[in-house]
Amino acid sequence: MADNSAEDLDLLQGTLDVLILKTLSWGPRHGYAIARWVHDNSDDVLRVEEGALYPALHRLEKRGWIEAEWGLSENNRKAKYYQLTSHGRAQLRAKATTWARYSTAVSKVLAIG
Amino acid sequence: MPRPWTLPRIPGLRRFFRLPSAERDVHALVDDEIAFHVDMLAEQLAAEGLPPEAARREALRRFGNLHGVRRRCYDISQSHATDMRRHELLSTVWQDVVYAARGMRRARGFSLVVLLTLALGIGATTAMFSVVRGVLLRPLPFPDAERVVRLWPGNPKAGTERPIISAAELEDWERELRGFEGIGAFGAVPMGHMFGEGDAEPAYARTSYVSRGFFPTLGAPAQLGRTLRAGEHVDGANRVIVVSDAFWRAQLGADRNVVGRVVRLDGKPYTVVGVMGPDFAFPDPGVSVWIPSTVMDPDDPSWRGRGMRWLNVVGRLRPGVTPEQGYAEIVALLQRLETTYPKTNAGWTAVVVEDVRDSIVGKVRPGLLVLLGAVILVLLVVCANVANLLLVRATGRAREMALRAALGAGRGRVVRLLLTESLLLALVGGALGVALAWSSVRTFVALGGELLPRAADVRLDLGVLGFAVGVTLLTGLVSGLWPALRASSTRLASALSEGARGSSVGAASHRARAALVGAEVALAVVLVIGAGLMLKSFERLTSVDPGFRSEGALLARFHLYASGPPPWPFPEERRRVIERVRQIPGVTAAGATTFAPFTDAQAEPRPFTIPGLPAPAKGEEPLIRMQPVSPGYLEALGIPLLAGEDIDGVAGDSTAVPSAIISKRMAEQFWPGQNPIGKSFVVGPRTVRVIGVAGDVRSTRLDSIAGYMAYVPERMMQRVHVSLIVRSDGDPARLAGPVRAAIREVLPRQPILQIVPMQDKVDDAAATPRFFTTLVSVFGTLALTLAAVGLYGVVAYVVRQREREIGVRVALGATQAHVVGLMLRRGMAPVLAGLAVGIALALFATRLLRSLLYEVSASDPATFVGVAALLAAVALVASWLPSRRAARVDPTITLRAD
Repeated sequence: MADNSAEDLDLLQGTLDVLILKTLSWGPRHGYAIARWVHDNSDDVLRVEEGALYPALHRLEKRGWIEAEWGLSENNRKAKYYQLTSHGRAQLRAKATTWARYSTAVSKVLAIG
Repeated sequence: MPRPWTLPRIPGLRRFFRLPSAERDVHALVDDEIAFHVDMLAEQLAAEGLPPEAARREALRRFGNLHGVRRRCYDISQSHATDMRRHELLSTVWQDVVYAARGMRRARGFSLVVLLTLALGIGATTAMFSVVRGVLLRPLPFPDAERVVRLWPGNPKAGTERPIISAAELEDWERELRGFEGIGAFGAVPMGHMFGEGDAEPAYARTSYVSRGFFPTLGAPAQLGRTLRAGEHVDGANRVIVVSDAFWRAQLGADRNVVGRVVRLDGKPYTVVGVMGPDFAFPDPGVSVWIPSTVMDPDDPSWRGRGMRWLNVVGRLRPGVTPEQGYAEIVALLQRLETTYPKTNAGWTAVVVEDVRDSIVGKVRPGLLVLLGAVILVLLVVCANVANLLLVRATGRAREMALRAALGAGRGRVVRLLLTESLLLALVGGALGVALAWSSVRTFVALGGELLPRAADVRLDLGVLGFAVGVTLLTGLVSGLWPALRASSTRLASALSEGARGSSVGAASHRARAALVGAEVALAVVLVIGAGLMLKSFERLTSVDPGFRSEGALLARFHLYASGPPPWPFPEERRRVIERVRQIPGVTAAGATTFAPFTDAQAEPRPFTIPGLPAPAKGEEPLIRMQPVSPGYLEALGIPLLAGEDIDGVAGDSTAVPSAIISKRMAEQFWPGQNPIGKSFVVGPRTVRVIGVAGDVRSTRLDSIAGYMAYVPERMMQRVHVSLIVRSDGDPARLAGPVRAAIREVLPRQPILQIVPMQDKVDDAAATPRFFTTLVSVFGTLALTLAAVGLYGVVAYVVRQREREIGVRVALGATQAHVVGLMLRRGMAPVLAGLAVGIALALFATRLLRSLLYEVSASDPATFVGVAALLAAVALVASWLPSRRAARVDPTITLRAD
């Protein structure tokens, strides 16, 4: 949580979705791995809150952007693996573009002064 | 990250994990997923140095409100699972439909046979149901029709079954009966009137004379204007009429402003006050005009007399009053009347209370129900046949089904696929069937002739369509379920290894198909025996000697109207018409009467006594119908004059001693072994002398001779109805034109009702039995054909399946006859079982036919034996044809094929 690490940022709803989609674009992963991947690849800046991750995963699955399958994890345990659907891939492209424009705009505004 | 190993992609397995069905499973999966995360996180934290318990606590803490997170995941997953299930179902149903449609196109011959079979079965059932619905089920045009009853007072001791009451009695009924809201009466015999103005050919208006209670009792409203008012039934105000929808369209130009128009009946002016709806056909569909009964000729007061019974009665019970209570009240009244008026009412103490619906359709109900039963039997044969065909197909597809099962398709899934196929077939067949019913229902109804009541109410409406859809779905399920269950229970290993040869699967399937063929044969036996009985009965009925020679005789019916007080000069004009007709070349005899046999009314029976014989008690006298005839009538109609002489032609001489030619039955009954000529009998005030004896005539029904009969000179009764009989040596129909011209010459302004060969009238008398017989025969033939097709299929299949065995047998020296015999035995075994069951069933089922049969027992041995032989012969041919193939089996080819 926020107080745990000053650098960690809470994720906005839409941001979490796009991060999940991005993570899954590298291949199927279970929920824990997704959280780890986001954390590791944001240089430990972004931390996915577990309480938000799973509802988001289930919501994306229901929307058909990702699909799930049960498989065996690295340590031989039954785990639910998510993977991107073609529909989800298209969503990722669209959302990534929006996000880039948004963050550029925010940076630009912040850079003033 | 490497792709993790996942469970094998077996459809059933995948679906099990991906589509958790119960809520419980959905929750368990969410719990598992979250538990995995917590464990992994705890492990990682432990690896980073936290003690295990602390690591676990920390992991749980990071989830925050774990319960709430679970909750949200449950909800989303649950709704997702529901969506998926729905989608999955829809897509598999659609897949099945597409697959089934493709299959139908591929197996064209198979589909064609199945569709044709289904179309015939569903079409016949639908058409039959639309007739039953229209005639028996559709509401009558009277509000609260269940309270409307026909009342038939009678004199049981005198044997009068359904007679009538007088105008004076009607007043007593109207006044005294408390249990009835209304009592209405109408002339038992509709009258005829000439309608027409100017130079137009005068039209015949069949008219019902109705009492003031008639319309209020029935309660049916007019579609235009109104019905007759009570105040319009008194002299001076009664020149008003209500007309039928058909008459309004045909004669009044469907004029919407017709109310208030003055028209002429027999030249007298009447004001049209209303037009009834098209479904109002009371007392019968032929009535065109309803008129207040008080307009009956004011110069002839006899129709108002207490003993002059000419009215039929209809009553409306008060709400809550049962027909039994109504009956008791009427009987009490009749007994009071008997005491008060012994002269006219002795013995008239009985009444029959009949539901108005029964009075209209009661006669055809048993027949229609038999037909409905028959068509349902046909539908069952159709189901059996389609099931049979589906089984053949399923057996041919045993490998496909086994593969599907091997690939993880559950039994339910395979059953669903096969049921989709049979339902699709049924739906297409049902659509064809409805088209068939739509195009044939009019033909059905036309077969019934004028005697099928409420024919106008028969139509294919939404109710009938709904019925057709229901029957179609049921047919699809019934015929598809068994084959589907059988096919889906195919054992995987055995089917995969033996499917090609199909020895064990084939044997089980053969038993199923043999059972179906047996059932088909049994049903067909019942239907064909029913048809056989009906045909035999119909043959007997139509070969009955009616007592006259209809061939060569032409019937011309017209009316004579006159104004002024009686006596009217009718006999003179009638005589002139007869003389004019006799001059037509080719005419050998001509004569007239009031109502010829099988025309709509007959002379009313009247009590008579014989001088010298002990007089029966008052009210128990025998009854006689006195039919006025012209000289030459008996000769023209071909009624044999057995003794004595023909009626004399002294017209208008009412002073002469009344004389009569009596029927043979009367002569034998009252003067057995004696010469009746010169004897006499007494009717009312008159003593009638017997001058001759004529053969008995069937005049109302072919199946019975109606009581005693006397032909009297036309001067004794003066009637407006004339039935002219013209006998010629050629085709009577060719005389229609000249006869019409001859009548017109003498009577230029009188309407001619009908000119038809007498044979048509006799045929009409058999119209109802013909209708039932034709339809039952059609259904029987259909069932027989379907059973034969089914049997052919089974034997053909057996031969194909056992080609190898046959090949071995032939190789080992079996003769062709032996091989064919073997196949025939395979085919005939279920037939013989079906025959036995069918005959046993028919012994019960044909009892329902009893009321429709004439001089044929419902268990007529000749018919039973004949039908059994016929079916056995048909079955033998149907199994011999494909068996010949077995004889042609070449062992070298079949054995090498392995």
